[in-house]
Amino acid sequence: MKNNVKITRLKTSMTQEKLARKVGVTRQTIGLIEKGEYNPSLQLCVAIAKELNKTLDDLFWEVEV
Amino acid sequence: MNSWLSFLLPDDEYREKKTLYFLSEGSIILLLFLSGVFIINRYIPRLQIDLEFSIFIAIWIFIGYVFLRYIISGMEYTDISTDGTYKSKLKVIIIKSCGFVMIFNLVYSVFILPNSISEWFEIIAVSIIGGLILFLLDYISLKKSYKKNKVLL
Repeated sequence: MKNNVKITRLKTSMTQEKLARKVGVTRQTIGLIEKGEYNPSLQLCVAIAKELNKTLDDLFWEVEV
Repeated sequence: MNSWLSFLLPDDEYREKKTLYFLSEGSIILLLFLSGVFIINRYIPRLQIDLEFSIFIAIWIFIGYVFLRYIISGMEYTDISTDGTYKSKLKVIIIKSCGFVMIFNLVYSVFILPNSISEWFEIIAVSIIGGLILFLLDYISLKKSYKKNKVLL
C-alpha cells in the first residue's frame, strides 16, 4: 500500500528508530510500512498518525490525479 | 486478539503476523504428512511405517519448517542495518557459538566423565558440530536480516 509515512517522517526530522519506539514496533516494521511492503493494522496506523501529528487521510489515503 | 498462543508470539505486529503464517504453514505440512502416513499404513500394508519413527519425523518436520522459515525471513535481527552493527553482532554470534562448545564440554564432563581418549574426542566432536550448526543458523539469520534492513533505511 502506497503511503506518505516516509515523507512526513523526514519532514519532522524523526528517525525510523524513534518512530518505531514511540509506536511500539521494530524499526524493520516501520521500514516495511514506508516501502509499502507491509499493511499495518488500523491501531498501528492511528498510532503512527498521532506521532506524526497527521490524520489517517494525510498518511494513508491515495488520491488519484 | 486473545489466544493461549499469545505468550509465544512476538510483540511487534509484523513479526507476530509472519510467525503465525509460519506456524500455520507448518501445521498444514504436518497434516499432509500425517495423512500420508495414515493412508500408507491403512492401504499399503507392505509399506508399514513404524509409529514411533513417524511421530519423530512429524515433530521435526513441524519444528524444522517453522524454525527455518523464521531464520530465512530475516526478521530476527530487526536493528542490524549498518556495516558496523553487522560486524559487532557477528562477533557476538562467534563468541556465543564458542561459549556453547565450552559450556557443553564442561557440563558433560561434570556429569558424565569420559573413560577413554576416544570418548573425549567423541564429546568434543559433538560439541564442535553443535557449535558450528548454531553459528551457521545464527549467521544465516543475521545475514538475511542485514540484507533486508539495509534496503529499508
